[in-house]
Amino acid sequence: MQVHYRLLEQDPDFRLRQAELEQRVNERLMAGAAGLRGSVTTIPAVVHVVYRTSDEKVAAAQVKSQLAALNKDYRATNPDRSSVPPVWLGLVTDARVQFALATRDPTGKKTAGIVYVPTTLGSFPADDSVKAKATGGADGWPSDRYLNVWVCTLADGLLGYAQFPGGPPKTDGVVVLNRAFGTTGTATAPFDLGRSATHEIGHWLNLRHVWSDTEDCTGSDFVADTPTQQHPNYGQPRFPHVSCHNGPNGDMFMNYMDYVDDDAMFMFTAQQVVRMQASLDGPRSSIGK
Amino acid sequence: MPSDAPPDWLHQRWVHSHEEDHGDEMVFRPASFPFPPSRGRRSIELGKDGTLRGARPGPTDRSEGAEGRWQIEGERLTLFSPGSQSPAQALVIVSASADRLVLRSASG
Repeated sequence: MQVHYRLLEQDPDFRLRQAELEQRVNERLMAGAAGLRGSVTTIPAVVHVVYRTSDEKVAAAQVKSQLAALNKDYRATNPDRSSVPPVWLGLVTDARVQFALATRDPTGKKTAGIVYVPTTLGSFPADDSVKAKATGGADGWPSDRYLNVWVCTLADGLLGYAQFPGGPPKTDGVVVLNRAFGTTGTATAPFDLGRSATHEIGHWLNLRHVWSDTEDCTGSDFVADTPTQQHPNYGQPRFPHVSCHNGPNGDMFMNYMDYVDDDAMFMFTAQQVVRMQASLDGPRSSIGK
Repeated sequence: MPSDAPPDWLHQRWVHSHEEDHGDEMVFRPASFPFPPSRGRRSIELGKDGTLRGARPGPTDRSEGAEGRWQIEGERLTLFSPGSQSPAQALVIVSASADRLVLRSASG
């Protein structure tokens, strides 16, 4: 059984919260409602840089470059959105979310929003170990008030992983590979435009992959304005890439929730934004303002 | 690929080297291959006893595993989900060596 679904089995409250959130999303989609939040929500983020070598100690400028990239992508002001194929340009949607490094820590003390934590470990598998001091990582800050972002060297070349809303608080947040974080410093092509964090935070705001995590065309990403798609796309696909009888326009591989290179993903859709805003009004209602 | 017993080197974990795909051909490499970073990779481990351990990126990008069975007939590699008699995936072996396995969908 898959990890996500096993977690749902082990944590009945997580299952309940996910079901409630899906109900909320469906009501929103039916009613076309915009949500409870004001025009734009600003989410305080804390970046835990877990490092062993000097290269892994990502500089503040690199962290800030990541925040800048996120704020373009989540406000649909990224200049490369003009590369969206004309047929989908009308779906490009401002998520009405922006991110700012936390200015106060959980005790109220001033902070730069970046925490440097040394480790003796060469890399972290995708098992949440980077999220606790006891396992060589860094403890998160309260997830009802902060977006926790862990930046480290991940095992097996993984670029990042996330947790959906409503899950265990101690592991809530996103993890991003240091060499795929931000747009400067150690960020390395083809993952040097900050889109790994854009993708992971999409999951943190309850977005699913555009291929629905099934490879037989039967799944759904629970939004109606992304085409059904068979597989993840990688690299820099050429439009159109048809699968699941989704011609003539094919897969929306330029969506942030596909697996293409950073310079090939440019957009969230209107219904993806409904899902994200529903999570901000539901299980994430205490975060940001 | 001969139709009799597969060579021992086939019984290892093969990881999708998607950067090397060409057209509908999927390239797999041994797990020890120096892969560049990726948002997630599929892998298949073909046990000598016919057991299959598959893994693919899950809903939040962690690798998620599943077990099943595999079978080779001639050029055809068929993967089965646990307890199922119908193929989960029918593949054609385009080429195979100890460090490179090239597959394509049998329906493609």
